[in-house]
Amino acid sequence: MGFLDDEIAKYQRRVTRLEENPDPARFGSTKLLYEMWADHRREELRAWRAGEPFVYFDALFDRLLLALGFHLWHLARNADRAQSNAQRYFSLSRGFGFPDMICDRLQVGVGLALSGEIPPPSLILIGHNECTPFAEALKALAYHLQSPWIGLSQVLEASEETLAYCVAQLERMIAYAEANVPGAKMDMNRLVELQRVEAEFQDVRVEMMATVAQIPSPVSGRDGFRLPPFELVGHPRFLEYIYAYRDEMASRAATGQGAVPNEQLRAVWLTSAPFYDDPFAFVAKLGMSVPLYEASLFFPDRLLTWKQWEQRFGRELTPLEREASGMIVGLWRNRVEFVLNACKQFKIDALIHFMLGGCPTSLGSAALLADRAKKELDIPSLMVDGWCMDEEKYDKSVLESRLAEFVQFCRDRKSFA
Amino acid sequence: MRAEEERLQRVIRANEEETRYQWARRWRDGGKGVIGILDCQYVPEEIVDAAGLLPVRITGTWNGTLAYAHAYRPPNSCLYCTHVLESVMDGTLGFLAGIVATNRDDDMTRLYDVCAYLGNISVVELLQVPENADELDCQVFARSLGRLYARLSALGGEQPSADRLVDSIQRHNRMRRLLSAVCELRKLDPPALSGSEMLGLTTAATVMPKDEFARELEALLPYLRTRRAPISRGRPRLMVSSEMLDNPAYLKLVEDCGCVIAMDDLDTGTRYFWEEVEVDDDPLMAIARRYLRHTPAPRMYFWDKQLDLVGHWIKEYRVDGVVHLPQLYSYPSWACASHFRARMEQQGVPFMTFLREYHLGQQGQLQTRVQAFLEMTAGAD
Repeated sequence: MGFLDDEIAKYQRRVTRLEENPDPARFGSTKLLYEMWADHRREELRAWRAGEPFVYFDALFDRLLLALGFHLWHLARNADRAQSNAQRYFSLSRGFGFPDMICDRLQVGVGLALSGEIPPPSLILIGHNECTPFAEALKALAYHLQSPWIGLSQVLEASEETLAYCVAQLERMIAYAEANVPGAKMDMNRLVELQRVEAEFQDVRVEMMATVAQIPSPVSGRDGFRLPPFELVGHPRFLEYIYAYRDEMASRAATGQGAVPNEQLRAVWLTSAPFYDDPFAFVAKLGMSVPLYEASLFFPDRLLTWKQWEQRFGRELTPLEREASGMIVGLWRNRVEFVLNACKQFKIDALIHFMLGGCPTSLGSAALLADRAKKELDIPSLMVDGWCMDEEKYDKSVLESRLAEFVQFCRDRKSFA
Repeated sequence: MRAEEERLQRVIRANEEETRYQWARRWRDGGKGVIGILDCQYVPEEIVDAAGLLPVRITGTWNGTLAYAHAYRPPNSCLYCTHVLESVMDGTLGFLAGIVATNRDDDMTRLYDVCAYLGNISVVELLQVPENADELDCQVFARSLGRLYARLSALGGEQPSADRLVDSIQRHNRMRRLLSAVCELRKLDPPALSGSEMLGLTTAATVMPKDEFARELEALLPYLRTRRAPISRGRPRLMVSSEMLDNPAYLKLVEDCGCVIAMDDLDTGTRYFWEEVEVDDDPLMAIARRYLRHTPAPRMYFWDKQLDLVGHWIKEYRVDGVVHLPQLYSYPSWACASHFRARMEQQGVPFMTFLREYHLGQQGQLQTRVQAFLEMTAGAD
């Protein structure tokens, strides 16, 4: 069986398990999320067999690409779901010549792309919005697979001029896709509808983040992955799920039920975490919750929407400008400021920096963030080296002893404060 | 040693640790500002020069042991950036009025963040360089350059003007023409300069005032036309490709294995001077076009344009093999390696890759690999 078949089987198993053994400690809406994922994978298989176009891309162009008629393949987000066969994909990417010191999510993503188990790309879009390794991985695939491809440039400053540049780049991309990919055609009405859904989703997420900020927090760790990624925005039950999750979270919060019983400490877990283990459960046993996990969608910087740019520019943006505004600054540029603000908003006691190998944007800012968090907010940091998908490089006992020491340290600080 | 040879060696050694910033300090002592450049391929020196400041490419410490930088940069990140940070933190670069970095990659933007935070150097600029080079991208880049020029001019105490930019362009084009003339002499058998000597020359241009460098090179050219590189073997003739490789000792190590580096694809080498700025009515636009459209680095989207030029150089300089020396943790170079290899295989050009440190490290391993490569290249012949 290939990756997509494995995925469908996995979600079907999970749905069956939840139906047969509902767990009151878990969010009930999770079953719907799994059903949506299974539907999505089935649709991807169907589209692949029908020869419909797929696009490989990095962040933030989901709506635009859907409106162009593509099926989406975010290289890293899909790689996250390939943990069980990660070693096979590592072999493929390393055999291709892709370095093994680069982010292992990307190694798996590249390996998946080379495996033949996923739809090949009709287009590769390099948005350059996430990080250098991701952009370079897409570039390497584009040259190797010889599919049509196009690259964009992020801008570092926000102004009408830079916004216009981003719009022009998107227009160039749309024209290229329509000219080079059979079936690709911009449907502006669909884009507007998807933006409406996204706006509603963001409003709900703002409400949910306010709930996350409560003490004790009703969510911790991987609960952040229960927010559906953008690939599912076209699913008919997308908003139904968001509201169901929001309501469950709110009712937990209303009864004072925290995701971590006896929450004593709250931490931000940064960058990523071992996908093959659950360090959040480990720290939870020690009384530390993780309301904010940077790799998940429950994270303040993901809330930077076009509404904020409209406030900044003092006018309503056109549909294309709304998409283009995501190219301003990019997802990780202002990371330090976002995390510091989040620490204040979410009453955070500690930062755990998972120093993911081959992630220059987080590695290069971790010490700076730790410095400022200590000086400005008196929040201590722990730095642990690790890989999120390469289990062969993992030493559970080392990670857990570091975490345990740090939690004890934080607890002692708090009790003496 | 002949006087000309001594003069040549002084220039070639200009970027050694003991000497590299003497011109910058002299400039500063004369009451003028010096701007450190972190990306010599995409920060236009003309902008800095026209602002009344001296542009100097920052070479990181060549010391393998770092005392300060790892407080802010982990060992598994871009080594050039880490070694530069060491020089910032240990005071070596205290004479700088400012630094200009680019968004070349995440490592460089994070280095910029740390430098801005530390405040050791008061002015820190981040120049956004598009990865494409259509007219639209050139226009945007030109506007960014205009803003940078205005800010640097205020620092340099000069009024921004098109005339100053044109003068600066001509000064830099003169330097490029002279280096190109020297580069032609690498076609000789053996070349006039070894690969390590040529890298010494190009990096000298990045730390000396351009007029002074041009005078030296003009005076040396007649001698160079008669000179032959002091190397043990004139064949095989290799090309070295890398980014942020500024230590000629690396190339000497390769050449001491029994070859000559007849050409290079280095941002600190040939790419630094290849192609002039074509001045027209709009000097900023002219600069933008040249910098975005000249021989590209792997961070740009045009790998094939870069490799087409490499292919052209292979023929022109009669190169027998390519040694690719990407720096550890340099993602654009790493990502390109597979495609680079595939293109070289298509052309039947022997090719090897070795991931290197920034400082001269892993010498034994590199020697072994190069020796094996040379044997393979000889066998192919």
